[in-house]
Amino acid sequence: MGGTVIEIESETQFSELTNLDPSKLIALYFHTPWAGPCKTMNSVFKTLAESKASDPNVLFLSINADELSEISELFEVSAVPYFILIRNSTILKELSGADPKEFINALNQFSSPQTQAAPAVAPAAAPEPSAPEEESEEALNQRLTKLTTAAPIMLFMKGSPSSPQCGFSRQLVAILREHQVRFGFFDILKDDSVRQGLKKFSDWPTFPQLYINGEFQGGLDIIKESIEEDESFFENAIKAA
Amino acid sequence: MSTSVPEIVKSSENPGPIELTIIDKLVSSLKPSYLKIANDSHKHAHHAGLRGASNVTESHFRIEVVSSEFEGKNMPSRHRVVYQLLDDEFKNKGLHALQMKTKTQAEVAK
Repeated sequence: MGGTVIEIESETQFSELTNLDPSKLIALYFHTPWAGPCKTMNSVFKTLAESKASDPNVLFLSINADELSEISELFEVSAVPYFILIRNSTILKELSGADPKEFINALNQFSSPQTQAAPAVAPAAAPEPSAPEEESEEALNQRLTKLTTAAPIMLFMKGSPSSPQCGFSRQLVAILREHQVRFGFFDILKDDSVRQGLKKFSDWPTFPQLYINGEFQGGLDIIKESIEEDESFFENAIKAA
Repeated sequence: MSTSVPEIVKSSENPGPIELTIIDKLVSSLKPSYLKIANDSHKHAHHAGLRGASNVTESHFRIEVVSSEFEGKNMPSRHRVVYQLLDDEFKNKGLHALQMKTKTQAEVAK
């Protein structure tokens, strides 16, 4: 039941609410009383919940990241405010920071009836053209081609270089930095369509993934081995354009 | 001259069902001379646990395979061979990550 924001008091309550109906869209909002931007986001979150009052399939949960540190650790929340959209135990999107528009778009993207074109229910806020309700496979592949060639070396990872959300991603960032390689990155945790689409595009089921000059190179293991065999692996790969 | 029975090193005395399937599939398709598999899932269990993942005990493995099937293939291609064999496990059985060392007998002999 959208409409009210439920402030989580305990982990037990959290587990109960999230397991009650996994098919619901669950919006998690992590905040702390001392972080300035959270004050604004608190009211934004409340207003959004109210705007979805008629939607029985969205649940708004608010979590004090300091008091419920176990839950924040579980979701590896490194900074507040932080939003996570979940459905069927899958994380659809994660947003760090205080941009209400980004969150509104993400909420609308996922709360309209699944995988249908233009929903019958008008969204609460006018969506930006950059957040399409439905992206065709062709459009997705075009976007992936653009992303994989956005920089000579592109790293698709979980989290960001300053805040990696998985050990393998962290290691690959460390290797790139050790070799003083300039690289672009994309946080696949923030965009589920890229996360799933890239698995098909690269024909590779896991992350992190490294691309050089738009060509898929491999994951952590392969890069490690490539460096073992050739210290100048990165320089050579960039030159071989 | 070549051993027809592969040397297989399992993760423990009592490997789980997914590990057994991995061993089974790799042995029949790759006919490796050597296969070692270790289970690292416990190192990642705290991530997956409450995110609703049902499989936290057989989600992350480290494997070493020596097989002539890898000859002439570059690293990504070798890993893809294994990924394709285990597609069902990735998609439906909760297998989440594989660290791999894929070699041919010639490479190991060096």
